[in-house]
Amino acid sequence: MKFHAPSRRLFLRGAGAALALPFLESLVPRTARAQSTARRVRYIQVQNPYGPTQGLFFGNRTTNNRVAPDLNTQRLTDIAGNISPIFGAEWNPFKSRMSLVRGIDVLARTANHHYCLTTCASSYAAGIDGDNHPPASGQASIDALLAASARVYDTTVPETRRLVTLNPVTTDDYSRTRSFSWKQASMGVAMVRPVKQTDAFYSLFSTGFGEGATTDPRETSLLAGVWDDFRAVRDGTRISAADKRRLDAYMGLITDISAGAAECSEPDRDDETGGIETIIDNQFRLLAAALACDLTRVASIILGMSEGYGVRHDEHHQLMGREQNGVVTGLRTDFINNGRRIARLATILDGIDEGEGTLFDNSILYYSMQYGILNYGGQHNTIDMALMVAGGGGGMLEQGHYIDYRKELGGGVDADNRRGLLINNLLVTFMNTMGLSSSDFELPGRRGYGDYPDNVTANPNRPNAAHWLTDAGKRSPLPFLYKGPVRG
Amino acid sequence: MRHAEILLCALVVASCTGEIGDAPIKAEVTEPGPCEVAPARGTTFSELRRLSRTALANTLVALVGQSVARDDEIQAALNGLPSDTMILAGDFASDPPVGLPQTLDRIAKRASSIALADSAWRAAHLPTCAATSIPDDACAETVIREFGARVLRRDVEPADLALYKKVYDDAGKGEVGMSFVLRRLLQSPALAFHIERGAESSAGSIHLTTFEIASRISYFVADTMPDDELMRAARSGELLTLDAVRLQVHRMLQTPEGHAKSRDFFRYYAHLGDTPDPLSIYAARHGIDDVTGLGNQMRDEAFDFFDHVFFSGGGFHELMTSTDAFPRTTALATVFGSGIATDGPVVAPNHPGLLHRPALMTSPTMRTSPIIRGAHLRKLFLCESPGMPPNEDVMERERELGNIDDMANRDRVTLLTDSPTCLSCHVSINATGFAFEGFDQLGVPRTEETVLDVEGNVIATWPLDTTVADAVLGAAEPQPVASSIDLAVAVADSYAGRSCFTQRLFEYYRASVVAKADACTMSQAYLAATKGSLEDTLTALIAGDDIFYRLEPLP
Repeated sequence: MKFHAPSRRLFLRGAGAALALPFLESLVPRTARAQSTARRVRYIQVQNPYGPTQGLFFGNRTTNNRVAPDLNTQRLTDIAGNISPIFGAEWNPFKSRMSLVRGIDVLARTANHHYCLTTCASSYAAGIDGDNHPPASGQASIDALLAASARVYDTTVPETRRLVTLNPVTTDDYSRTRSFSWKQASMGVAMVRPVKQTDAFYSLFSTGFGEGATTDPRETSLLAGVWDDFRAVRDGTRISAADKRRLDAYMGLITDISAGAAECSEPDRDDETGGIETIIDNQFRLLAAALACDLTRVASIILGMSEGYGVRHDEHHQLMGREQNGVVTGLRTDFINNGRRIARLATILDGIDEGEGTLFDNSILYYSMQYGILNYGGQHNTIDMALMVAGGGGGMLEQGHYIDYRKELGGGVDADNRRGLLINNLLVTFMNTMGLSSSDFELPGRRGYGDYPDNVTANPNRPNAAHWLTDAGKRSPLPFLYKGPVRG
Repeated sequence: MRHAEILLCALVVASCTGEIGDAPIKAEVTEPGPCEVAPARGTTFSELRRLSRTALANTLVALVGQSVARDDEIQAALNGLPSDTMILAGDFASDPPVGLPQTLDRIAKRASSIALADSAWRAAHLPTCAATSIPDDACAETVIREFGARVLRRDVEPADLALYKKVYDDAGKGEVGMSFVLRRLLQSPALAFHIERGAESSAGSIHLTTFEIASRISYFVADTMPDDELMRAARSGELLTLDAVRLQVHRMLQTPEGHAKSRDFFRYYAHLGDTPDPLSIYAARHGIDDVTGLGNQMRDEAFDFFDHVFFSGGGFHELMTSTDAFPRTTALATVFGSGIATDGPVVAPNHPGLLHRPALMTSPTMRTSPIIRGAHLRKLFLCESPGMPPNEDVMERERELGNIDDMANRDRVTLLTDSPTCLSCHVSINATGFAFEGFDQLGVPRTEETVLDVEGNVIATWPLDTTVADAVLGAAEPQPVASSIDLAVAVADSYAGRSCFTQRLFEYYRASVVAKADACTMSQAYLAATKGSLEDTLTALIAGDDIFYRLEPLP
């Protein structure tokens, strides 16, 4: 176990005891980059496997403010007590700085064990069964897309720091090697395998935290020599163009080792023999320090379960009935624990003052689950996703509301058939917030982001259904939630 | 090419799309003969492949020994890399993880530091001249030749020697110079990729060097670098015949690394990760008071069973029908209805073959699920891909039926899936699940279906019917079975079962999906699966003509 001395400028200990420090330009690394405005927006997505019931995630929400037809809201601060079991007491201080987003659907081709519904706006191709298949959209997930964007990073930022994909939980065989991040690779879109250990996570930023800086010419010569060894392979006569690109990428990473990034201060770490919560908190503090120091701007976090697939998958299929009968399942407990963990992350982010708002205020903290809200017979639900957006994205996202986008059809059985807006537009919202317009994320010949299966028709149960399938509709952020500049 | 067509046809049949009227394609089930297309393979070798995390870890152990490779800091660095655990065919990412260069940089620095400071290590891993003293120039060259050959997995050439000697000189020679040589070597492309420069080329195929063939054998079979015997065989030119390759495959399979890889293949084939403990109320009915850890005991038994069949020369038929079992605890022996296995297997007549391992039948649920069991077994061991039904169809059907819990499982499932859309897949899924209804949630044989409440009180019993009139196994004619035991025998004799096993072996050991160009290799392996042992099947997949070649790269 490796311990570090308390840092000089950032001392992030304990979820509730973060110190507010002024933003220091000296924390910005030499490679400071594309988003050069005063408020750099960071993107943090958090996902966990399975899906919740309505009560667990949204609580017993009813709207009381009709913003527009088929757009109803309730102020979260109007709620007495906790919002829901998942957004419990730890979230009460954030009620005015978070929004629960209701009535967002995925245009899925199948109802399967997807790992890309809420981050790719896509399912797998029809007939595919399994958890590691790439999204049918053929497009990277939003985090990977942001990480690759020139709007977010300039070209000098190395691959290692563009997207951090964390997955600290080891007790869940279903999610521990998986992520909700999908990046373009040589053979198509592939799942990004997550970082598990805090030390490995630290090593991604070690040069930014000042480690490895050396004036010893033998050290720099060594890395230059290693680089040369790979160049010799790359320049061989029997290497394909794809392999040359692969080797170039590797050589770029070697360069990054010696280049160094910054002299940011790393946070203190607790002894991880304390268990998974300590590990998670250590990684959250490291992430916050890296975000504050601008070592990275995009992160993906996967929070798994305390039990594996064999237990939790069955509980997921039984969750609706168990909740109705008041039976406490391990899945329920894990969901609630994840709600608490994300609240701790929010608190840590909120403890870092950046002059104009805190790091939390300047972030998009996006929490969603693998599946949507459970309904009868619909455990692998791809409609009515469970979504929370906090942080406000530097003031560009409306916060403090339960926002219901579902079509107003009345209650009763019909309520199960109500449709809302598309997750494609929620992710466009995030991309707009991060400064991207459609020309930055659309694939050639396609409009919008994510999958629009060929057989999609304007569902009459969806508000303003036809509009959302037009070019303009596909490129639009969600109304009410987005209040930033029009990007198109 | 007829054999290839049979193979490809079988792969097509193994896909249930859920479409109505999706009639199965009838394949002619005959044994493939000698393959006439050579060397057809090469598609998955046309690109530069990287070392998996396991391969890197094993290679480090082989290079620097356990004492150095097991160092906490080195292990932490390795564990920070993605695990590369194969879940689905073809899910091995070709691109190295972004943290790999930094990881190797750290490992190389740490390993050279602790290794060179350890006189025992020096004596064991370096030439005698460098065992105790600061090496002179001549000794440095000897170290580069010997240690360098192991890292590069080929003999060190004059250009290599000059290169690393310059590293030694530039770093100031002596101990420091040696340290920098080791660090440079331990970050070389050979630690990240399988470098195959090849020898002569003709007709679009590059013939590999014998060292490269040795590496393929070693990494395919055991996920590690060639050992001394393989390097000797490479130097002697022995590895240019398939017989010589087969001998080495057999030898490498017996190594601890080869054994570990075969176990991990079984994890992939049977999808056996952590196995949940069954519910205690059902265990209590069999006199099992404590279920803690029972799920993983079941899993371990399944691994032992596979090990036993594989390494005792058993074939696919034995894998599906052997009554040998390895319960190591009283609780698990109770599940098997047998004694405890100590030195060797015990006989468990009610649990023949892989499909009857408790690990594959157990579930921590109040009732068994014929659908989950049936779909699971067909996906895993018949390579079918039934997919999932549309949400809305399921919801609609459940609304129509209301509460149907108060029925026998078979009646419930039959009613739930009794529509043309559902039956296109469920006719075979249900049949498989119904046959296994003769086993409860622990995998203990039962004569009736008993339903308990949460307190363990019996609230219902239902008669069992495990007969299936038309069990479908791939493209073969449907056949009647009386129970899961009949079904296991049918799978053992089926083309679908054997070809699926062969396919899974290929997917795992080659870290690839099966492509058209692999048809010849697959046909030969299938033939081995039909007539020979499991090891013969694996050997046929590795020791094919294509192991000598790779394709010319695309421009």
